[in-house]
Amino acid sequence: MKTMIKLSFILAAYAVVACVGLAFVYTLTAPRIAEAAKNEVNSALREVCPDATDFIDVSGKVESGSASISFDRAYVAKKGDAAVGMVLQVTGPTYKSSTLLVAVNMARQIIAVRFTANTDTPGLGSKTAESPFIDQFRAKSVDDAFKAGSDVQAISGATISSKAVATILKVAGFRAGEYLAVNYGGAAGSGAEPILAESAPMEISAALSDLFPGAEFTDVSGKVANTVERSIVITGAWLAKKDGALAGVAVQAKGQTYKASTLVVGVRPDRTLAGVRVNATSDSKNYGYAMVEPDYYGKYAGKRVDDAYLVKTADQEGDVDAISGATVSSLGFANIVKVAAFEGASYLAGAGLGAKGKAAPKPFVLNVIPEEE
Amino acid sequence: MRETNTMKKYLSIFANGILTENPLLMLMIGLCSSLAVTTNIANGVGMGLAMTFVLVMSEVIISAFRRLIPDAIRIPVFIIIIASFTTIVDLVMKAYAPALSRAMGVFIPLIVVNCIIMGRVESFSYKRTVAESVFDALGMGVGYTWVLCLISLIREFLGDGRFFGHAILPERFQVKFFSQSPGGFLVFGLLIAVALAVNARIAKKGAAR
Amino acid sequence: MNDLVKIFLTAMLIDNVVLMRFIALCPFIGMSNDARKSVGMSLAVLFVTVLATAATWPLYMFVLKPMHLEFLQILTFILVIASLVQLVEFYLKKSAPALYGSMGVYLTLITTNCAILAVTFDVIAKGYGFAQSMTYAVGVASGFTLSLLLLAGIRERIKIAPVPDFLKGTPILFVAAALLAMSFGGFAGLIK
Repeated sequence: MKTMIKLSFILAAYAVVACVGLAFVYTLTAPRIAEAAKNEVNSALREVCPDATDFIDVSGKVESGSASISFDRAYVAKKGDAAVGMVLQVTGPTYKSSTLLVAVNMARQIIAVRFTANTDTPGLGSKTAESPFIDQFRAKSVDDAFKAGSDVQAISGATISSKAVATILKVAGFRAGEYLAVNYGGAAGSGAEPILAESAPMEISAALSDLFPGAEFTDVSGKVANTVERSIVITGAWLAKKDGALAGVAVQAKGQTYKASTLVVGVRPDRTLAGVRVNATSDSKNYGYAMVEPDYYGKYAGKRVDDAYLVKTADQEGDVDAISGATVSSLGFANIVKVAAFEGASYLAGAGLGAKGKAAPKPFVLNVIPEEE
Repeated sequence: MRETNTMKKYLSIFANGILTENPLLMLMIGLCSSLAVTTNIANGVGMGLAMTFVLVMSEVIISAFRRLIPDAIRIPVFIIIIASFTTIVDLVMKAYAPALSRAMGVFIPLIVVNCIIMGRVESFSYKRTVAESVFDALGMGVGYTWVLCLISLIREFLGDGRFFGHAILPERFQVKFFSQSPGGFLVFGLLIAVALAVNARIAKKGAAR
Repeated sequence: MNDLVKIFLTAMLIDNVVLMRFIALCPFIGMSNDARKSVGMSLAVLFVTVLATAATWPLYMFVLKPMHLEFLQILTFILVIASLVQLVEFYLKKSAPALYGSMGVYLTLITTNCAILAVTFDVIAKGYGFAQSMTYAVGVASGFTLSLLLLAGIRERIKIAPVPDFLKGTPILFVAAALLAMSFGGFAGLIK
């Protein structure tokens, strides 16, 4: 027993000496290690902002204002005592996702862009990280529109990546410019805030009041049935009355798009559409999900119930546009709207509340959604 | 007269580690940290030097304290000492050669379980004088390093086309195989074969005499 | 769950500890001449790796890191592993002699097994949570077992194969390992 205690003591003594020795070496090397780490970050930053001599970490002080674009790190670039610009490390959705460094100078121009990560398709979307695409952002004012097709040249075959990168750069550049203007006396901006209000599907109540503003709604779900197309299900209907007069009926219908979507279609008594709103969709971001953009569903407002609702594609003429790159979603979308509109109008006509239309043509012509390849 | 005898003894201990009892080729210990870092010469040399440092310091301390380390707890004490020097090497590398430190990754901490160090400390320096331990450690360290360098040279040259970092072979003559793990195994295996053959020759010559 | 499966498969196949990372070569060459020894060693490695990770991960996360003592990582980890092995051996000898018979004797050899220390360091470096670390540990041990058993099988064949004199003994093993490593290289890209 005694030997064991004695041995444990000796072992502990060695351990203590070792720990003390290591602590000593650590305190000696720790500052050097921290500096080495800082130098490494700085040299990466200097690749986009070569004029700077030092960088001040202001990460967390700049917000992107967008849920999908995150500013991982932010640095103010300094040359001596004067600020010469700002560098942001941004991660955002492109075709998949990209992380890049973007530097902005005091005159609200982008100095340079460098990608640190890009998981887009090699040879297509990945080209956004290379010249000549990336070069067009050099010396570009952050107040420009950054819209593919107007002031930004997209890469053919990689539209989504190109648009997404342009958006990321606009957001990052604009925020950097604003931060510099507010805190470091950078040039003040003239451009508008980047439009980032991320569109999303709407709750039923929001959709209803958006379609028929100021109206009161009576639930008539169950009274509107789908008689023409089995694959599209009518899941709800509301009669809208405004100031005592009938404004129309809102029909909620679910059907196949790329995956599935639920739309709310507002039908007026005169067999025109008050509009369409997206209640839910499981289609892919960057593709069919774009149906939630007011730019897209707004196209349906004012259409007549009895229109063809054929989507303009490479294979057919039509009276509605497709979402670029999301034809299948668009075909499904148009079908749901057509059926919901038709049934809503039929309901109004049957209840004596709306104009009568022709009987349902047989077959009820819908866009043909191609099978998955 | 005694001076030269001791010197000879030290030198023979030193030479032992380089050739006859070369840790990698003959004794085949300490393989772990070795092959992974041999993709280029900078890593190979770095690893060799780091290992040698830990080996020398550990052997010296343990030999100096050998009467103060009770036999029953010698293994844990060895571990403490070896681990401490490994940590020192790790910290110093992180401070003064951060790129190299990152390139080697987990293999620097793995020096602590490198069989060579534990093996030599247990079988040699625990029983011998400090001076002898120094030469043994240096011999083993140099033996380890030169083999590592040879493997690195071959792999860097054939796999990356570089010689000490300078591009020599154009890309179409490079055999990427050698920069990857199968190449490491192959080069090492062939080196062992060569070493065994050389050894057999020497033994034959010695027997014939 | 998906995440854990990815970690397991990557650890076992794509980043195989022996064939792709060159770790744990000593037992790989030393133990594979006997299939039974290989199984015993693999069990011991699995056992100790999981235990060691379970012990060192909390040690780092709840003691070393909060107290800014990260520089003691090497020292504490190896001491924990060595003590753990001693304790396990002691315990096994006493209470599970059958189990001790099959793997106990390899336990002492395991203290210096690079793979175990490598795993404990890896999970910290990769920032894994506890469940992920355990999965990783099991994955690595499985990869070790797989490569060990494969080489043991190949060695049986080598015994009766016409090996050139130049390569007889250890060199041919390394050539075989090189070929094994090449085939494992085929797993790259298995997990995106």
